Amino acid sequence: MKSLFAAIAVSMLIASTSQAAYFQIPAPPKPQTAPTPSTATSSSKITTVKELAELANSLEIKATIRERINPPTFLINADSLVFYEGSIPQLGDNVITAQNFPILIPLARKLQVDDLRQLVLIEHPEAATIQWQNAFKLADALIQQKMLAVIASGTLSDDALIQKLNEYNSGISKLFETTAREFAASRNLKFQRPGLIAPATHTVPVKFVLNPKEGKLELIPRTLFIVKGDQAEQWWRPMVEESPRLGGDYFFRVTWPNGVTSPPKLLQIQNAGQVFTINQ
Amino acid sequence: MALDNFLSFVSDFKGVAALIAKAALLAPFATLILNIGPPWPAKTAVPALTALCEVFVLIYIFQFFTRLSKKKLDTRLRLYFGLLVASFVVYLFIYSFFVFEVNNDRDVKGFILLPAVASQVAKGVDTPEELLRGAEWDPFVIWEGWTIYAMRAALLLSWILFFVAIAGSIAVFVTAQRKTSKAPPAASANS
Repeated sequence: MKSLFAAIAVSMLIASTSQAAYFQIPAPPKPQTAPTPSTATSSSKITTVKELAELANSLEIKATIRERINPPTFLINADSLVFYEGSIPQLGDNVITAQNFPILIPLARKLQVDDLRQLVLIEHPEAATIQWQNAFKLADALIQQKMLAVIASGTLSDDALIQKLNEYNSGISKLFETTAREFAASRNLKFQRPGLIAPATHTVPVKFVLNPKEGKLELIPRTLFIVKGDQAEQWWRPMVEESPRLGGDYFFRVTWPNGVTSPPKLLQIQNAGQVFTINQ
Repeated sequence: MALDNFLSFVSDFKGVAALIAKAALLAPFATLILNIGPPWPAKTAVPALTALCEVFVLIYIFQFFTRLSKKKLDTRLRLYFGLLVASFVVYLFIYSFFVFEVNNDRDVKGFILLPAVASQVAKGVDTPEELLRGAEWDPFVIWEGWTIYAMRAALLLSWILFFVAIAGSIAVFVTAQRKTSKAPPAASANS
């Protein structure tokens, strides 16, 4: 009899553990004195995008956080504009969450806006129209006058505040998409969204060593490269991490400091810890 | 009566059948070590779910089968044996054809290729498995999503049915043996 109950108890215990692993366990309560820059800089004191940018600098957010699996896309083909604002970076960890530190939401949005601004206004001068400039000004205004203002006001409960910030976030996303659609229409281009990449699960850490190290490495899963054909350009992913997690077969190319881009070559991930040395 | 049967069965530490039944209840957990269970929904959820199903089958049999005649119990036992063999064959078939291993992990394939992938395979250059490897091992890039879900469910179902059949066979066998030992020799065949 005891063994039966033990079996059932083990079943229940394992089932509950499994559920916890399957769904994200809520983060533990915020430590009273979390030694982070977030607590050093009281979020309610940040009321302008300039101060927000200073906070980002003080946090020394690495390029690896800025560069993410679905970066912003602004690609003008023969008759179409492929646009995506870029996924918003995930800031914090299990302890430092947006629930505990709502300032992370406008901070992450600011990083996304700055990346998109760099892509659209600097890297695509033909798109540096008053239309896009106004969109970025408006996005900054929304961050400052809505997101930061509502945090500084301290009038909303935690849940209501997060909900409000997410609403403003959606508003900014719509602003960029609307602007992109209008831009496409003004140039007689067809508006398209790129295919977005879901994070792969069966991956292992590998390492890339570029020689010279200033080269810019890009990867694309082999199947996408084959299946998408001429449309594969938008699927190339910049690799800025030295040790990214990858799995399967890829094509890679490197743009070297002299501006020359190497032709795509096959890369096969066999096991964890593989080191790929790529020379110019 | 049924509860008595059930409790006496599971608390019988000497009975070989009872020991086998307990082993059958714990057997699904062997997959945690041997890694032979269905990869979906999760490595630990599968044996837990299987063991619970087995317990409910045991309860059902002791509740409803103890009143059955010896002849009907024999029929049920044959059915459970049939289910055991069939589910085992189906599980082996699905596992060997639709489960792939990667980086000490496993996942389930589908059975209808996405149109873009199908056209690539039709050229004869790549197999679906090679394209899967080139898709970061993401089966949803290669096969229609519903076919992957269907195979996941089929694999889990055949696994659970296999263990349910084991538990059911043992429980029916024990019930039939008890009926035989309790009944007078002349009446045992017609009860």
